[in-house]
Amino acid sequence: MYYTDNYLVTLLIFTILLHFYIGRAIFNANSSRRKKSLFVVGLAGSLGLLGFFKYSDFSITQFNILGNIFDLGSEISLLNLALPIGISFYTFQSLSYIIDIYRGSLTPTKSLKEYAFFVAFFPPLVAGPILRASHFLPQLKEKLEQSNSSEKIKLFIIKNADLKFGISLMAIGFFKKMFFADNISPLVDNIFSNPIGMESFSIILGTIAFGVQIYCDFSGYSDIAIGAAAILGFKIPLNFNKPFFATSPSDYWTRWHISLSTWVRDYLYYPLVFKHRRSSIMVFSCLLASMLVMGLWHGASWNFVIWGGLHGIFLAVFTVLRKKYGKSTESFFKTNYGKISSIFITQYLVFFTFIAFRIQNSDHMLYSMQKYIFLDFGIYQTIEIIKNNEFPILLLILFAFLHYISYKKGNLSERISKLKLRYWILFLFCIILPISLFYVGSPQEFIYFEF
Amino acid sequence: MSKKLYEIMSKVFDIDASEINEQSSPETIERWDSFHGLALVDALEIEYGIQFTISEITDVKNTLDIKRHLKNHGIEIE
Repeated sequence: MYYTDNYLVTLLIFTILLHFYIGRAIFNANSSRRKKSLFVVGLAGSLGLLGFFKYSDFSITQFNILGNIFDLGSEISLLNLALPIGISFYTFQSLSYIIDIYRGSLTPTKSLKEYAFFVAFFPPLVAGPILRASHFLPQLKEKLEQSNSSEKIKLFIIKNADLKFGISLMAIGFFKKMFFADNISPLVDNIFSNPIGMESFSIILGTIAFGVQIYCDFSGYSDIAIGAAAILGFKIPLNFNKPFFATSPSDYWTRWHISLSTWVRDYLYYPLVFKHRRSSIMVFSCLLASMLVMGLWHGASWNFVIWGGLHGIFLAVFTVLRKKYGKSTESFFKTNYGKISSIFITQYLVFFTFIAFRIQNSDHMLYSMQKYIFLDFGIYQTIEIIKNNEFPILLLILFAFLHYISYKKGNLSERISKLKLRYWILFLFCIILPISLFYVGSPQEFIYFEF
Repeated sequence: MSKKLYEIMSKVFDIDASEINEQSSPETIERWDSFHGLALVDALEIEYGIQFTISEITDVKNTLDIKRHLKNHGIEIE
């Protein structure tokens, strides 16, 4: 559950003010001890807020469970806090600002307005991509210098090419979310509301459907955010790059939620591993720890920790296997057959982790995972599910086809935005028509709003 | 001097040195992930007797960035 009440905007304002002034203080500090103290204050401030709103009830629950096990007495009441929308994203975004300043790789901005614009920039505010100040602030500065600097209200000029590209990308985003994700969701709910007793092929079908749903939901939002930013003339990095064509677990993490995986790599993994990088055991331990934290970032629930842990294990095992057998298998994996095999193996593992991501109930999760791995080859139930969910099944097939085309053809949104006006309008019509024809009536919230 | 750098990179990433140039990056070299990136840092530190900082490690997007950071440590790579 997340919350959008007006008073919670004070949290955003607090984060902005805290990091702006702490950032300047760190930069101007004349001793490393003072720099470190200020840095710790900045970290504690925003992580404290994030921890309080996101993890306090989770912590209380775990404490109560332990209390029951050790018979400690009465339970602590839950605070029943709702998660302020976007807090996970803008907290990480503003943390990267003070970390870069502390590391000496960024000069803080002197303008509170510019910093506030960066943190509160509306397109990626609630669900990313997570921006970096080093990438965004120079763009903002350039735009402000280009606008009429004598006026209090700065005007951003919208260029025709940016407008077309932005609208194209936003249209693709809405299409992914409203046509694919929202219409596949009932199939996923149908299977995972109570998977106990389901056949293996039904579980696999549900897992595939959920993987496609969450990809379309989240990458759709990212496309909308990147497109909206593009209309205003801002370049935001890609957040997804055809993750279902990843050829290894490490390749997958260069393609899925790129802004988060690079954030965790640069601000958590590297600092953890830096002093221990000559020990393989420590490197893998730090990798696993980072992935567990990444899992926990998604939500205060053990299923997300399991999801992150599984990815950490797959990454570590893949690295070891590649080191040991990489040379001898290199020629095979360079062939088409080898590449297809590596994609299938990777996606088999990735979709397995989606079970943990989707299912909170431990019995349901264990049952589904068991059925995913140990096939029972039952088909009758699966056939019934397919018959009762023809439209979502057709959407999965259509998605696979379109996704393959976009993988082969490269940057489709760029090509679409360069179409002649009449063909471009036809493209928009082809996007809007199926969305409106198959509109579910009660639109589903973006999944990542909950994080 | 580039030859020596490319030889180190070739050993770490298990590719021919001839496949490496200034634009080589994690996008073009399959084995250039965070694990092998750290192995490269290690190899360069041992070879050149230097110590990189975290901000330098996180500021590497391609081979040109590596050359730039080596230059900051007094190692000129042409």
